Amino acid sequence: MSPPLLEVTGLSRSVQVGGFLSRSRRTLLNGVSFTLERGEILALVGESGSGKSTLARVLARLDAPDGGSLRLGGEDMLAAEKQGASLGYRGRVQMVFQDPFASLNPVHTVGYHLERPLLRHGRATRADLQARVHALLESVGLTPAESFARRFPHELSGGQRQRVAVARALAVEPDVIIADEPTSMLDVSTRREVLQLLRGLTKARGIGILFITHDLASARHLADRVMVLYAGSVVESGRTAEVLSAPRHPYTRLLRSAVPEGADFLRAPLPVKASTGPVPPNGCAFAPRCPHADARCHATRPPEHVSAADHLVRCHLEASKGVVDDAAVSS
Amino acid sequence: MLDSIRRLLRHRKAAVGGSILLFFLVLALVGPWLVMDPSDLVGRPHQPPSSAHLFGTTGQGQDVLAQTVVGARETLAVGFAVGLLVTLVGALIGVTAGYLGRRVDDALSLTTNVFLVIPGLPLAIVLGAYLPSGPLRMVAVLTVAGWAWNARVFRAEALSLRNRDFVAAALVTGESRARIIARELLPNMASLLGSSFIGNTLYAVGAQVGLEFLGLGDVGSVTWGTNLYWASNDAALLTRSWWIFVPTGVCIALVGFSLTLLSSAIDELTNPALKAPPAVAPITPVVTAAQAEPQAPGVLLSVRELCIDYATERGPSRVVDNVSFDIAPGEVFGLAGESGSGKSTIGFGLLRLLPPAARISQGRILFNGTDVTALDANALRAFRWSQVSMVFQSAMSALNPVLTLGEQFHDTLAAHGRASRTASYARARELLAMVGLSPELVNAWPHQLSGGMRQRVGIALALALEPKLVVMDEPTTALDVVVQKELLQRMLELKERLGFAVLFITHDLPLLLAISHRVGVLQGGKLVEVDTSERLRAGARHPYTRLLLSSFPHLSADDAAEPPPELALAANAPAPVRTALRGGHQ
Repeated sequence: MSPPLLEVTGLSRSVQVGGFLSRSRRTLLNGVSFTLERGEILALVGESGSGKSTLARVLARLDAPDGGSLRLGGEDMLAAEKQGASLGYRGRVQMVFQDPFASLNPVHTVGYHLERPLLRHGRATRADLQARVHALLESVGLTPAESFARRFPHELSGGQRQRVAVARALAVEPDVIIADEPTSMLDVSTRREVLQLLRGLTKARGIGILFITHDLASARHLADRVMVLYAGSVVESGRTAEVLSAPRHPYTRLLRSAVPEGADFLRAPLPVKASTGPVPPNGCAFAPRCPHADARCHATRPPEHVSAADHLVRCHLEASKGVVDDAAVSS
Repeated sequence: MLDSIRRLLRHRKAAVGGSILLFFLVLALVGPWLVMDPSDLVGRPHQPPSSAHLFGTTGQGQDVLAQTVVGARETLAVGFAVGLLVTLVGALIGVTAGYLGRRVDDALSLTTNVFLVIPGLPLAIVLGAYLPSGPLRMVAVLTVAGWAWNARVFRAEALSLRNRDFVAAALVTGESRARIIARELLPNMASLLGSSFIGNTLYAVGAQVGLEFLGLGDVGSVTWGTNLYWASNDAALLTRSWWIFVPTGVCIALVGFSLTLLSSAIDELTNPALKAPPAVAPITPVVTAAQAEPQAPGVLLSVRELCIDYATERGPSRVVDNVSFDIAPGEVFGLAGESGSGKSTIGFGLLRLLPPAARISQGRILFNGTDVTALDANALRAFRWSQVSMVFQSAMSALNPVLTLGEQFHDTLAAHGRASRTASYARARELLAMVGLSPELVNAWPHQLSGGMRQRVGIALALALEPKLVVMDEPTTALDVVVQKELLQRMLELKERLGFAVLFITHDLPLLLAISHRVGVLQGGKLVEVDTSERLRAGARHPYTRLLLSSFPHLSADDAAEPPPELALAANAPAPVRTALRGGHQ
């Protein structure tokens, strides 16, 4: 069996907090592991501060991790390229940023944004550059391409800008695209077209997409698998339908019950406690808020428990008692 | 680039400043050939202006006109050369330090700071003593003394640009660092480069004249500074020979004036906020029968045929178009719409908090029998917050970062004639407890709170005077879903207890349907559909409402499928419906 397209094991990153003499560090990522296959969309879900964007920046090699490995098609990229990402890596892993108003340089035309990666990675020659730029614009549905290529970012709507950003990522013909909340800054009526564009790409070109979002509904709409991040750890992952229809980790249930839907959305109480203290250094990060937490949760970090095929849960309760009874999520 | 130069020429300050500067540049270029040799002793000393010597003669008998004209050449040449060098050196060092960061930044910043603390004048005197005399010495001295401040400015700019996503995007594309500095960062600093260059030229002209006046320049050359030096040496003031120094002084002042005008013009053109808003033509509102009708009993707020216009350079642009709705006491009324649909403008309009460029051009807002649109300034102050209050989207910018929470409550309460500081603090504790926060937070500062806590404080502040209506403008958009639900539950609980009505404004239609009694859908400033949440959920009639509803992916099992075919078509069709969707932006 061939190795997975992208395989991440034990990735961690922490930053120094306080002044330059301070020794204390804050953990942003705590041993994150996952795999991404060709043509697959993996949704990464979590609230702000959970480490979603840190993970995206580490995978895009904008920041370096403290430990762990990152294998692309079986090759350990972090060990092979200690001095930062090579051009080869950049040609295989691309990123689409959250804010299309910030990720395009206001002084350059749309055409320039697409020409640069094409030339830098030798995906086009000077002779066929224009044709390639136009083909890219057409592939993301920006027609007439000649007219769009000449425009500046401020002459485009938010949805059009995000399409340009997707086209720029496609220009190098990557294997992996990291999409960091690509629709959260867009109006609702343009969100869907960007999501459909991403899904079309995975099907047509076999690109693997890590789709980062705080919105469970988008994840459900788009992703094949879902991975839930809390305080830098993956607390649950598995097939989208399984994780979202029958969440097993208390945090996933909390997220699930907070999605505004239905008339009695506000009447159902949230399955959460008011935080009862600091995060235990060795225990489960969710323990202070978890309605089911016991002494064990505060003392040791729960191991990964594989409950069904490919459905992974990091919870003590899961490992011992099986399914926790939780009436609040039955709806 | 061409476009911005064209705009610069149309600007009045720029045109005046530019003309004066151009006059001196031409004078400096061709002037010396038109006048006599400034060093020649052509007449008797200290002669007042006459037909032979239009500006009189100096204390040694040289022609003042010739000295003034010839002096322009070296003064301006040195001024512009130093301006250019200081800007380039400062920009290069500052941007390199700011972009590369870490060790490079530490080293370059240390050097910059060392140069900043060395006083310029003594440095210039010391350097002047060692370097060979001549205009190049002046250029070198002024550049060494002046670059450091510029480097600080450019470093700060690079630090703020470095964290922008387009720089990260260029890195991911595989661009080299040098290219990112040259092609991504520097072009974004064009206006800063321009205004720095002009500011530095101004500095250079002033510093050069000052040094030369003190005799630290090359006293053998003819510049405006040496003219003043010789005027003082020859006792121009004692002999009352004002004509010797006034022409040079006026020239220096005019050059300084023109450069100041140009720099301020660049500022105004690149920062539109400094520009005065375009004048608004007074509009006579048309009062229709529907507007004049008295408010029905059992209605708290009636908005009738409301139109709000924004003044733009191309004439008024209608942002809210003929909107009418009622809110009953204790009701939660939702306004949904995309960006540019006018939803926030309506919210601000209800409190008459519109920005200066916007105005209510038609319609009436009736609140409990009062016509809000007709209130004068005093009545408006009494009305705001005590009758209708507001919770803003960004709690951090709505709270004052330098005041404790207690002080902010006291400000609000005192502005409406309530109570001493002790009483205000007691009320603040009560209000904080009411929104589920610890009363001890009364002594906390806004930066010590999380986003969700700040938004609770915003709600507590809005309820401080027990208003009958609270306008909430996207209060939960910046919050995580879990925090959002906690906040909304608390808000509705308080509403049950205190009985205020809520106007809830958001783009999130599913959320609105879950919390509101009735919902209005805005599209391009027009209210396209108003109905109860149950009926909208069961079947919206307007195609735009249906499109909005289908645009939100759902979590429950049955509706995760693709949207109905006619709506899917509508979302992708290029022409009519797409234009209609963007109507709000026009």
